[in-house]
Amino acid sequence: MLGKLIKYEWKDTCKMGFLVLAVIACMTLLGVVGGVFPINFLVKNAQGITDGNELSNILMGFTVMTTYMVYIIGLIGGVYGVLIYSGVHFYKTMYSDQGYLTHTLPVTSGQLLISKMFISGVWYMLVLLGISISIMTLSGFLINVLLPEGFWESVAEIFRGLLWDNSEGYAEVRMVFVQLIFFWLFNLLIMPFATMMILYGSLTIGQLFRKYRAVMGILVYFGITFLSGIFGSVASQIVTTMQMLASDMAEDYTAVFMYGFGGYYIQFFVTVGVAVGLFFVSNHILQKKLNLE
Amino acid sequence: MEPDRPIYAQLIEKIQTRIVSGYYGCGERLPSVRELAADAAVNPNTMQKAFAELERSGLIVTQRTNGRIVTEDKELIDSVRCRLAQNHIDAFGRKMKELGFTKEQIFDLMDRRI
Amino acid sequence: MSSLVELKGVSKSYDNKLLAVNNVNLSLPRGKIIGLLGPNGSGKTTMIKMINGILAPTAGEIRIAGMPVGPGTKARVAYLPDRNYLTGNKTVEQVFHYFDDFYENFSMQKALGMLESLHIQPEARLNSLSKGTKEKVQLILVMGRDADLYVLDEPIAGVDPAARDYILRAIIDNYNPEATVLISTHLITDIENVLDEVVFVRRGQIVLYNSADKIREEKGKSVDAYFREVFAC
Repeated sequence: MLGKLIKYEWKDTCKMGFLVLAVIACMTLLGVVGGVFPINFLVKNAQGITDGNELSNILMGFTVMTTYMVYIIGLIGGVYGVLIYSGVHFYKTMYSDQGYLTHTLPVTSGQLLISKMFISGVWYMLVLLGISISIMTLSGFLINVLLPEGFWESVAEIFRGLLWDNSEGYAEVRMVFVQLIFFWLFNLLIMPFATMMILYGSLTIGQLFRKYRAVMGILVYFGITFLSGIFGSVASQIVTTMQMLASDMAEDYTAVFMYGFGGYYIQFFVTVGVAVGLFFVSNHILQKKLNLE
Repeated sequence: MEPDRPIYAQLIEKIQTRIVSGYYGCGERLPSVRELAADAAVNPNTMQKAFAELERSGLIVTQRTNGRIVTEDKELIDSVRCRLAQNHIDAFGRKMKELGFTKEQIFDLMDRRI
Repeated sequence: MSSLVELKGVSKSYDNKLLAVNNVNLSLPRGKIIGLLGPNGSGKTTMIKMINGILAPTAGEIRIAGMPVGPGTKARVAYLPDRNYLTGNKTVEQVFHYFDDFYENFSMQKALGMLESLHIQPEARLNSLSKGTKEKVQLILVMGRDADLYVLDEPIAGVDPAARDYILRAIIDNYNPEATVLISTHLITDIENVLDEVVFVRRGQIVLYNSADKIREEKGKSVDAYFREVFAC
């Protein structure tokens, strides 16, 4: 049954998902065309390789600025688009008239929650991945244009060192690097699902109210996100400070990097914890407190 | 179908009428309960109850191979026809008396009309 | 287990004040077409929602075919709510496939047959259908299933007289001695010839449960007339 729910969730949402990914692709293209080529032109002008006048320089500069603005807005829009669409789709299928169909299917409430969290989580993850790739692509182009030759060779050298060199310096940087990778992976693979579960849980809590249930759901979402953010910040500050005091790190700059991560882990665990908690709360509400209009 | 009388009783009358009028001939196979229920727009259970009553009275006979058929017993059919006629006449008589007709007036009217 | 639907001491209260359903005990057998009759706000819809597992009782228990309400019973209960839940641009046929996928006892063949006799195109998109047509499709989704219990909430209320006849006929044709049909309505005249038994509900309680013909015999009036007598304002 869970498989079937997942299959139909995918069918219902894939159009929107592919649309957002297409928008990201277009934004990337736009970024390259409007954000990189003009810079290339400006740089070559500055180096005297090509001949450009004041006007074309200003025009190029303007193009670059607007392009990046549109690019950033587009990407942010993509992220929020996925979030808002997922929320609306969830609400519609669970708590509007369509709920009469959804809740009489021979499935458990847990299966409903998990299937929806899974698919929207996957889309959110794909969009974040798409954005990461987009930014890396754009950065790659920009670096080529802006930075001196030999940049990529130095980067390759650093990577080689990280992988093979076991001397003191590399070992410590490697630890930092590995943590960075872990953190990025956790964010990419787990946070999307946690985010969706928090959204769905909030919308479900909104169903406990007698009136304005959708609005209350949204307010609950902002409230929980805000509170867990504050809690995470405070907790991580405390932990970081404790770790710093407990260690001998007077002048050790890398240690700051390493201990600094403690904070991120705390926030991560808080968010995941809230998501798990909300799953159980939602499941309980669906089983005992569901009251479709 | 009059809603203020038990439906099964009305169904019995309807089927009896069809049998005595020859609509369902002697020994003829009757349509299924479901079919008749659907045609009459009534509950199949109610139709089944009517059938059971008709079977009890012998007007309908259940054969293992042929299903439900009308009885071949002509005498029985005649007696049912008489009884139905009596019911109609009694009801008619009541209605006419209610209108204030005497017995002679009723006969006179009947003579002219039928 | 001889009774199909069993309500034991079932109550539903909202905000600790309103008792929409008040300590109801009801046992419904198989193979009957039963009317759930009562004025608006009497608790009929609340009971129906609880039987279908989209509302939880505050007290008591409900069992269907011996099972507590859950995915197991939902697989065997076909529910026609008084709502329109068909939205979007899926086609009718796609909805049928969806039902076929989730409900083992859904018969694609039967459903498509009913669709044809009602002159509805399988390729029609849901958002292009009129309200009446959507209701017919919803009815087909229910009747297309070989369920133990059919729960119809106001099946003929918003429907034209010809469609009404079709619906009543479909209920009769669909009859099977192992299944029960529970019809909640306030249009009693149109439906009483089809009912085996009737349940009168008032203010969350059962005030009567009897066979329709017995009521006619004992009271000398139609179920509709008797209802008006019992629920006279």
